[in-house]
Amino acid sequence: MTEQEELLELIPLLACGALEPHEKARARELLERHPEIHSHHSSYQELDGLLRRTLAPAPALVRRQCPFCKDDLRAAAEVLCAKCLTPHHKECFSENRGCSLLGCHGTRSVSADEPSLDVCPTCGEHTPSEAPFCAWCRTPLGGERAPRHARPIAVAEPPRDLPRFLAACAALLVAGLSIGWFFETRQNVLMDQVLAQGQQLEAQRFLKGAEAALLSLRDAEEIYRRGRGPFAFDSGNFYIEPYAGSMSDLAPIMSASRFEAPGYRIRLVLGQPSTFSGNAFVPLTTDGTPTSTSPIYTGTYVQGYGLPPATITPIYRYAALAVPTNDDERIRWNRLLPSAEEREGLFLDATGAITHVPPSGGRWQDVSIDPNTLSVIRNPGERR
Amino acid sequence: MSESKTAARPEPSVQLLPGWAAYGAALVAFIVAGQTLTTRVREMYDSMNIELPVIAELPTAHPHAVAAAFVAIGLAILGLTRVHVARSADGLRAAAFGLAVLSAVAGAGFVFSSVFVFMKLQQSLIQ
Repeated sequence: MTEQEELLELIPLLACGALEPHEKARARELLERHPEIHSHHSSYQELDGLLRRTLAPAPALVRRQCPFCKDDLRAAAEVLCAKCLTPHHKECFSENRGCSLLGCHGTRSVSADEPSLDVCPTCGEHTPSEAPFCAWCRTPLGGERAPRHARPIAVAEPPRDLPRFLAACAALLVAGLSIGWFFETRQNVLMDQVLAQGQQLEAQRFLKGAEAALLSLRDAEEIYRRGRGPFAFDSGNFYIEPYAGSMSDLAPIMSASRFEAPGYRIRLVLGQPSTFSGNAFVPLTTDGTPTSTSPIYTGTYVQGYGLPPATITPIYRYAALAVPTNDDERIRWNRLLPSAEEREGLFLDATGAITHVPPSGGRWQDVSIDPNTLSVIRNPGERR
Repeated sequence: MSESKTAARPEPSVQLLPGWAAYGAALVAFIVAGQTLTTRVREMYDSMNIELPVIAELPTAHPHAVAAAFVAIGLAILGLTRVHVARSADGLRAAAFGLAVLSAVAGAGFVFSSVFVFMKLQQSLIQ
């Protein structure tokens, strides 16, 4: 066999790629030696390409995909809509609560495994058709159902109109202000009541303290009387009572028919306990001249009404004081008043009245007592 | 057709502040305003010679200003119910809710300051 005959036998096999590597190398070698056979080889290559293109499998023109997720149907379990037979993924049919094909409202599916399944509108699980309740969540399955895309769109609640809203705001405003005003008013009333009770309790405490102070003053008087006596204490002429045990005891002292003595008048004096403590009792002589250079206190009781203001030292007391009515004696008494009282402004004026200036430098304060009602009358003056 | 199905729908909007929270906080604010206008707490504290609590100083020193401020706060909170935001704006909604709660707590504090004097009165009477 010549080389040309051998090459002609190998060319069809070379064109279709059926030669072994060493045979393919031999054929290439022979082709290079005999170029006149190249045309024959080219025609075989063209024929082989035509056969390849002709016999190659045609590409797929249709891909079966789920209408809900657009993925290949072969990717998961497949069901068909019982109404339109559109294939879906089982999960997609469940998620959409039915067929996702627009226009089809089927909620029942069929598959190779189950002849008929319903989709629960609540949990989306597949449950046997005609079952009264969902096998998974017990939701009643009666009534009409539809896939999600076929359900009527919930119309958003239209916003409340502005006038109604403003009216509601105004009503709430009025109601809130009224409630606040009502409770605060009620609270103020309760506060007043509680405060009044507190004042009464405080007054009782002051009165108890006054009684104790009075007893000590009486003891001091007795000691003084025994140590210094005899005294020209004449209650029949001058009606200077010993210390009053209570407010009612002071009333007869303050009656004008009794305490008016020659040259002296009895006045109520406002002072602090320390003011009175050093001058427990100073008797008068029979002609009305005091035996001491200190004022005479005939009784005491506690102011005791009202809680002490924050700016005033607590517990102011009153005492009945015999004061001179003539100018010389009054001036002398003014000089003899304790320095503490001078600083606070306890002075006798031209009428014989005793006025008191508080430590804060406020108004003058005249004090008297109504013998009928036994109430303290304060007459704050305008002068300093 | 697929585009219309898959296109992102506009996110639903919700109230910036729930109605129940707004109306509750506004009512508290209005009550405080009404209470502040008629309060006599300072008088009571003065009569009892008790130091005024810090929280009671402002409403007693400037009752009209505090009342007006609480009325304004209440109306502003009510106005927040008219504002709608995206459901995803959680931070904004939480801030509005916090504002309402803060207002209610402050109002409760002011109310307590007026009740506080009662407690002091009772303590004084007991002593």
